Amino acid sequence: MSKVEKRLLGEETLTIFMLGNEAIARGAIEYGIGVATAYPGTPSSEIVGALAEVAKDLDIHVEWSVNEKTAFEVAYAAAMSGVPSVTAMKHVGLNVASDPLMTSAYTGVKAGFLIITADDPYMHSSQNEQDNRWYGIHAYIPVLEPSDPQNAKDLTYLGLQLSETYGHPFILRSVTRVSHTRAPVKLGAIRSPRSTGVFPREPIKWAVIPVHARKMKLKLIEKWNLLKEVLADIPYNKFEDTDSSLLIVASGIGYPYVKEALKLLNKEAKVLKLVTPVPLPIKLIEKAIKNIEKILVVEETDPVVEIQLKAALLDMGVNIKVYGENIIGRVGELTTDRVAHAIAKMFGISWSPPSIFSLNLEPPPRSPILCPGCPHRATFYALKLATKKLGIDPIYSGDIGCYSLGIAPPFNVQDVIIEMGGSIGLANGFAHTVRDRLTIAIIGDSTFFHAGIPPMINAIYNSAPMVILLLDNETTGMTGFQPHPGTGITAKGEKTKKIYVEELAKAAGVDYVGIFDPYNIKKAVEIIVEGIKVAMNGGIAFLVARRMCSLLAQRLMLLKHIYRIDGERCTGCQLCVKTLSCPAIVIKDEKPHILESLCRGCGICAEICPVKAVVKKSED
Amino acid sequence: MKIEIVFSGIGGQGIITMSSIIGVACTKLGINVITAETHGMAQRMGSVEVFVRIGDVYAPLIMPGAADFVVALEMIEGLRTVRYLKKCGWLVISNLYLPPPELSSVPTRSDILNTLNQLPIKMLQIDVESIIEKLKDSRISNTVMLGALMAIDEISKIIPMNIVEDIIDQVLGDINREAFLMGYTQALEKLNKKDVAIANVCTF
Repeated sequence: MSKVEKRLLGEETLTIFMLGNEAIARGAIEYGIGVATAYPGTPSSEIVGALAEVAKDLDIHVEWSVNEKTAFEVAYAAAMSGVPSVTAMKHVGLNVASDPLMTSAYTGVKAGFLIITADDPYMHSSQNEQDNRWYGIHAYIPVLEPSDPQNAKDLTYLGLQLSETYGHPFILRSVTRVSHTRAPVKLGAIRSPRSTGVFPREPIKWAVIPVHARKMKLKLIEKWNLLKEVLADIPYNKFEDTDSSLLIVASGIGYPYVKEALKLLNKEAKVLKLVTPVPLPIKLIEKAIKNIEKILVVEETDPVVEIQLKAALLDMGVNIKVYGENIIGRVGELTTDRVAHAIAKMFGISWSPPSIFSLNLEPPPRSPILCPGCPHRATFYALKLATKKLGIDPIYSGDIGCYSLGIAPPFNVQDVIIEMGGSIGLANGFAHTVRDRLTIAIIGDSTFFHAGIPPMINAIYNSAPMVILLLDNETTGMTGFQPHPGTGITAKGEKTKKIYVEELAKAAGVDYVGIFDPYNIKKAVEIIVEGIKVAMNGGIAFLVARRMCSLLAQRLMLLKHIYRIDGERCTGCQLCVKTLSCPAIVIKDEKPHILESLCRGCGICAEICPVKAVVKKSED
Repeated sequence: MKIEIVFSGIGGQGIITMSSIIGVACTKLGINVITAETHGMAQRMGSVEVFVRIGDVYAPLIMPGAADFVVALEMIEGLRTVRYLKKCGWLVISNLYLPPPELSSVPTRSDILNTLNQLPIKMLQIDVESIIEKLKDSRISNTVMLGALMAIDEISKIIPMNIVEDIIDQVLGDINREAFLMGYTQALEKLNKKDVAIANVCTF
């Protein structure tokens, strides 16, 4: 049994130290889900990653779907057919799945259906910090918001249960500091999975043609009002009464910060712990505002609870001043000091955070960089050589993945990065407007399957000349090596049909297909030059740089040798250091030196060294 | 009781693993514990910090200036994360020095040590390089530093050494257990010989 299996399938009553995302997975297992789907994305990836490891033991269907929309649809259909299911994604992933999301509330479901969104406040690993609780309001879907891993497990179970009871989808909104926090979690009993469904013909329930949908909308509003009442009574919403005239409403991750800050300030307040931010349970609010002079709302990111609360108080004709976003702000993650400041202000006391040492020495920034041996480094190097050779300065339309790191010097090959698949989509637009510069769309293999195929077809259909440079590292690298349709392996680790990106491109009708191994710089430059020429003549070139991620290759023990620098031959020109920026090459006494512990043996530095001073270590 | 520890280093050094071992140990002992980690993009050789909070705690993050311990697996990262340390807190710092590539002005080892020596803290430096050389494995710096942390009384009186050793043995195997013990022994010797940098204002 693997470590993850032990944690996920542990016996009832055991208390196990687990990751928030694993706790969510466990909650789903306890409920007896039959289907789990996801497209990986930080901070959500470990939910379905963990479920995939136990899928065979439980005999349930777990998949890495091609994108979040498909993941949503797979799980939604399961719940239509009576099989309880979860689908998990990062916050921006729900944008991709928002089309079926908006209508799922109209049809409802037969079995429990939980949509798990893991938001990333502070954008640790994301392009924006959208607050997905808004989707709940937008789509008429209740949102549950856990405060810690134990709560995440419990609410996953509860969300599935409520969803099944009321035949309505539910959203679980996690955030980085719940998903990527570890804490002791007390396990509950596991129910047998339900993995077989039925789907009797009933289009009046499932086909949203206008005549059906109009009736569904009326029922939906009724259900929404009912759910407000139901959510007011769930035990995880907790009112902690004191003599204080200050009420703090703490939603999700806001709660532990409020508890910590009150302890730090040695103050008492009434606290309403809210795990149901959407829709706001008005009945509970009515109870909590008795003998209150002011209210502070503590929530992470946007004032979702605060706005609903203000509206509710207005409707009740109650005049209590509500504070929140105006003193805590809506940028980045909550911290104990941000919350302590706000609470201190409510009490009219002064509080200063602990003092910090002043240093007379500034630590240099250490941004994430391409790993040693990363094939993207070799591709970017070859790309720079090819454009230099042709004397052109293309627009580098970038995308979401490890290759986003190509934005840094010495490469500077990500001029714009917006969203998954955006590299090719935006290149379509640039092709029709910035006519004096070629656009090179740079996209990864998993991202291409996710959202790169429609914009490629669009480019062919609408004649948008471009180079599509597909960096095929045979995995989903940034999120932790999940397989995808191009790998021929499923989430459960089983063999399946392998889909070749070049065959898709050929079938769609690109003008040129070139495939190269980026570790072979000379050949790579030749093929990139050829592709650029095709695009400059109005065509669409599809280039595939194919080489496995070096981290994955190391894990699979596929690496054979490492390199060292012959100090006598090395002239100290530092070409390798300056043009590759490889973490394994450091300067020691004015000359480059290879750190054996970091070298992955890609050999690019050996290929480009003008005096052939880099040699294989095994040749010593 | 409350203990706050910041583990810092570079993505790939196994910082999540070492913080999880503390978490598993606390859970076995029935002590409350929360750890907060960094995943995703930041992990690609970037700066990584993991927060471990033990005892009477609720929130996952540690305020700057509040940590009882900062355990740094690399010197520049030690310089970066010492701001989390409270006055007279312990900085346990590795002698591994891995400057980010291609930067023109990077503080040297001695620049860093000189700066840290001026702070009102207690500093224990561990020679991780020599242990890596002895064990011929560069991946064990996390367990070496965990061993060093265990040599400090304030930790081992709450989390007994043998419990952590057992977990490492079960989860990570022989070589890591050996590395853990070597880190522990080296730290213990240094503490006994008072081979540590203690600011005048702090007691030891």
